[in-house]
Amino acid sequence: MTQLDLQNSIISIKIETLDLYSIYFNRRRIGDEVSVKNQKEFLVALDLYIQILEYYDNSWVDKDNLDISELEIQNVIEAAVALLRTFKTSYYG
Amino acid sequence: MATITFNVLESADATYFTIVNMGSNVATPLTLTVTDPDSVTYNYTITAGDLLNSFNGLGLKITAATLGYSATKFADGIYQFTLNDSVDNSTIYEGFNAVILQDGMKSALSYRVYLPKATKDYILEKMLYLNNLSYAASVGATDKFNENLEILQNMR
Repeated sequence: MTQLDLQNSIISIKIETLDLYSIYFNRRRIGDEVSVKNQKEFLVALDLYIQILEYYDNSWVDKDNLDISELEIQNVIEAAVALLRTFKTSYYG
Repeated sequence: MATITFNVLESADATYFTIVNMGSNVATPLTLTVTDPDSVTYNYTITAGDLLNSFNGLGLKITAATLGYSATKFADGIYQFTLNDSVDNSTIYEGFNAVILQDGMKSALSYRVYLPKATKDYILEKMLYLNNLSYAASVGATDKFNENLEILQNMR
């Protein structure tokens, strides 16, 4: 994975996460507490994954000496994409 | 001579920092004095070659070994940096947190939505305190920086 690949992944995840926030805000507006609760779980995780990816991107120059491997970062990207793909527009309690 | 203005950035692996001139070009060799969180002082002379090649450009890389630091990695905490050229001097404080930041990110790698709530809360709490470190550093709140750093170190 090149740094450009990583940066492109971060941008894609951010854009798709923002789309999910629009859905989340709509559910909040109509008072759908069950959906809001479940969706927030996903959004918190996505926010955390973006922070990790940005940290790794900023640390690129020193990445060979980090205790975090490229494979672990690829797993984080995979986990983020899995959340983006399985996020539901609504949940029924 | 104009007041020396400079900036310091710690590397992500904590093995070195980069110091860069942010003001007008300085022509004379400078003495850099670094005081670590344990109040131990280290000196380094920035030579004319350093000035030409790095300090006035993208930045001069100073490793822990170059400085004579007691470990291979800089410990987290507040460092004082003073540049002195016998006419003028300038001091800045910088919070180093690369070690604890890497530790926090390492534990965050395992965050998954299906994990028990307590596990997720623990990771998120660590991330909160890491954010606090950067907030404290950005406003110069050294006591708050140390407070959050101590909590994070206790959570390791």
